Amino acid sequence: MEDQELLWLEQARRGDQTAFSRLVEAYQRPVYNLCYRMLSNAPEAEDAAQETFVRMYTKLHTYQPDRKLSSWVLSIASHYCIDRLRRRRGQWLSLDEELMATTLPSQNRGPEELAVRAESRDEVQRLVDMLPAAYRVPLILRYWHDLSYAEIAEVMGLTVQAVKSRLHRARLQVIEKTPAGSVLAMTPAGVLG
Amino acid sequence: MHSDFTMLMSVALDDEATPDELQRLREHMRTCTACAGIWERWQVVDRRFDAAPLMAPAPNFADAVMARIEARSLRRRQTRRYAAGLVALVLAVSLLGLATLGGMLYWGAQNPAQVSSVFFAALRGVGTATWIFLGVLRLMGGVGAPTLAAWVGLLATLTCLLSILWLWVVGRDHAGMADPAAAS
Repeated sequence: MEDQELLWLEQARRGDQTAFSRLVEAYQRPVYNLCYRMLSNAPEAEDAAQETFVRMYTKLHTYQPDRKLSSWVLSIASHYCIDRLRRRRGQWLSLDEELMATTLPSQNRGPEELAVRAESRDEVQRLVDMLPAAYRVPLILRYWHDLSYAEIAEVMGLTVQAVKSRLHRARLQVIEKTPAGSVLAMTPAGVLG
Repeated sequence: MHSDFTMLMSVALDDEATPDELQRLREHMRTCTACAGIWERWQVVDRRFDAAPLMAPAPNFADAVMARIEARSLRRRQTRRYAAGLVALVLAVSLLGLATLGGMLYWGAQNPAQVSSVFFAALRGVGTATWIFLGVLRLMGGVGAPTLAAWVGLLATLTCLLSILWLWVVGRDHAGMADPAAAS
């Protein structure tokens, strides 16, 4: 499969759009999933995933064959999503200020309404959303893409030790931020085999 | 104090722990109930994450990407064309300017007396225009709106200058008709 993809890549470098479209088809799901899990919003994830492939297309000549193609594509996607989250944070800060000024009287929502709202969202996604972008990427790559520490390190441009440490901190934060009685209400399966 | 072991738990969940590390972790959890509790909670979360589905994009995703690439390259081609046109225009204007300047310098070298008379006439013209402009500005000072006054002043100055030019042209034509030898 990897050989076929490298062939498509070579053809795409020479301007073959059909070959590039095959590459898009091969990687659309992992790229879209990464964007979705990072941004937690379907239309924004679609846009980010498309932008990832546009960037990939314009950077085709910079690809180094010694690198895994999937790592390269996911690296473009994760960097783009991190940038987007940073921009979004700035926008949300200003939006929050506006809301503070205009919607103070309606803040007294009942606990039932808040509970219904919380339950209606994907619980796992909600846990991911609570993490800083730097911790989200390794967690997503580990759980949804089954990448090893070495592969995550390659995607993120970090050392294996740094990946190990980020995953550890991400897990600590997930547990800290999990409200009692939600995910943790489930019964654990087994202990160390 | 337990952070070494929580780190080991994280590595174990990722299947990256060595047999020795796993053995250490097992032995520790036999005596430490706090760590055993954390391990249980982490396992639950781990299974929950593992079960979360891989999200898929819309069916026409690849087509949308290719359309976006095409639109982007079209825009880039257009920008390149506009930039090339702008460069050509700037070059043409520069060449024209240089040719005009060269011609004027050449003409000035051939007719030094006329150069000074043209220069002083231009200077006098600028002086007259400034004098008229300032005069009208002073007249309009009473209006109380400086911007409006400036615009009216400028328009009045231009009208005066055009009138003077028109009178000069008409006067020259009349002089030519009165004395055909001078006109020729």
